[in-house]
Amino acid sequence: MDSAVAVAKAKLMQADANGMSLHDHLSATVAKIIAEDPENPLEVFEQISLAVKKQATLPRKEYLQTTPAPPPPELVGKRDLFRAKPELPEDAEFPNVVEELATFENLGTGLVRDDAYVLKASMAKLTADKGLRTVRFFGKILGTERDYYVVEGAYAEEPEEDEGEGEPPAPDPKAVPPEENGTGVNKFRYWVCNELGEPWVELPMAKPAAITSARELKKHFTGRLDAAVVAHPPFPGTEKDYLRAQIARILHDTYVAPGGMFSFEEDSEEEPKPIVPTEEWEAPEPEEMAEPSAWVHFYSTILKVGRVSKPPKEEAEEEEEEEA
Amino acid sequence: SSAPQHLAKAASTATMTDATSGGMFDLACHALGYSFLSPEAKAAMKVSLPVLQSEYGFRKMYVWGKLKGMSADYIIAQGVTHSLKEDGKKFFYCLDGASWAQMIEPEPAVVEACKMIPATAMLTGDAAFQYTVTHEVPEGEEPPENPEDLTVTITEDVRAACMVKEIDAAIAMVPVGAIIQDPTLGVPMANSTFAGLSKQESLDLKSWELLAGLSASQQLAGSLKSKHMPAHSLTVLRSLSWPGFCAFCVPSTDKWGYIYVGDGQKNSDIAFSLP
Repeated sequence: MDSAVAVAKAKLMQADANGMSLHDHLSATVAKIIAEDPENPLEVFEQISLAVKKQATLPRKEYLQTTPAPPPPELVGKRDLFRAKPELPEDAEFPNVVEELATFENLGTGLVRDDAYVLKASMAKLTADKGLRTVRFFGKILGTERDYYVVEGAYAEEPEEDEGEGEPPAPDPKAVPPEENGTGVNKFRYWVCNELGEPWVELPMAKPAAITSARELKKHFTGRLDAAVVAHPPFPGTEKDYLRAQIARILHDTYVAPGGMFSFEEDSEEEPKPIVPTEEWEAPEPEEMAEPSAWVHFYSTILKVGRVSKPPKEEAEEEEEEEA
Repeated sequence: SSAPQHLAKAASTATMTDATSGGMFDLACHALGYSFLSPEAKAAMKVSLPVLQSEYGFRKMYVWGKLKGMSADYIIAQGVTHSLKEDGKKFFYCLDGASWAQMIEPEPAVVEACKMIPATAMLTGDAAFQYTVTHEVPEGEEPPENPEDLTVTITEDVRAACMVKEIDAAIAMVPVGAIIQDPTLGVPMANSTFAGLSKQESLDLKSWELLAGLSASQQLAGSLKSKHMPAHSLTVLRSLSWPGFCAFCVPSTDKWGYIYVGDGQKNSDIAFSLP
């Protein structure tokens, strides 16, 4: 009988990796209950036991001597945005970011309220740094590793193209040429970042081959602009080109305005005529606006070739055909 | 005996649910990537869910998420007596955050019929909308006298109930150790001494389990992506098979949860869409 008790006690006194034994722990727990005399010790027994365990594993010397971990760069980036006071260019049209996002928040699909303020600061910095004339929050695209925040913007005047290092690669004569910056699907430029507070990275221009290929794909984004887009037939580019193509398709398919709010400027001699707000347009009643027919697409549909306007070579061929 | 007293005590101390408390909602939004409840709906739920909880005697209520429809979204909540793993938990839906309706417990025949609704048919947003499906005559059998016997009409609220049950069973997950079988009551209960997953554990799929007990690591390879967001001390698991589903936790704390905000459809193209 005694040996059974001795065996049991020996088991209880086995020390674990941290040097604690069940026997010690039970003794300490009971001692704590006696010392603190709680009202209903049975009810809170587990909490007391847990507290004893936590006290036993207080930081050892090595923990006390470690240097604190550096703050997460995301937080530092956001903090710096709040501190910065960027000077916007005089003619910049800067939207009321917080108010616009609050509208979406009220619809039950918006950024977390705090992010609206960070986004505003981030967009102001981009506008000031690049000297943009217009800027707009396009949206957020979720990725498997990281997400993308996307901002749309335009310069007052298209900047000169840098030659960069060496010659740019010769354009493929068979490929449909992309629309020039400031026109068609490339009317705006797009910048992205994974986390607000990080620097904005400009996406390449939208290319017709990428748009036509993207129509056949359904791929998740990773959040890395240089990630390969694995598909068959092969996608002409990396994730940044796929992202840019999808942005073009989304914009041209979904950007709508109330019918009648804008119209072509009849007096203009530009081709195509610019779109301007209609003078003396009055918004219809909300019930009317709830009908899809009350809205119109703002941008032209992207043609099958992956551009909004016909490529110049095709037009030349058509002229030859007509003459012949 | 002590068991009935334990239950009675639990119900009487059921306090204001933390379902809509700022902390958990913000974590869910960061996990999802955006805010999915309007401030007005959130304010309504802060008062309507505790009332609902009292009416049904739930120990706890959770915001399950949203099913998106074309003209309106359905906000979904669930109420439990013991834990998220229990058989008898109840689901509720509403449009405004204030007027909740209990979702039915669909019969197997109804679940089968719902599966016949084409995946391309989005929820309309009208709970009374009627879907009509036609059963095929099994091979070798005579068609019934009345052809109408083959057609089944399902209202959208029933379809939504089927979607919620399917998603909850297929992908809803909790940290391993957070809910354990209570030896006295014989039901799965929240583990009151669960101290949370470490950051490393939280990123490992083996530390998460589906409600029925299957490990999350058994999911289709690559379809469940985990990441840590240092800015919010948050680990997030997002499903690519059920886009819109996230499980999340704050490592080394007992703050964890799951949320679904989506159209209710499985991503059947996942083999192609995985990067």
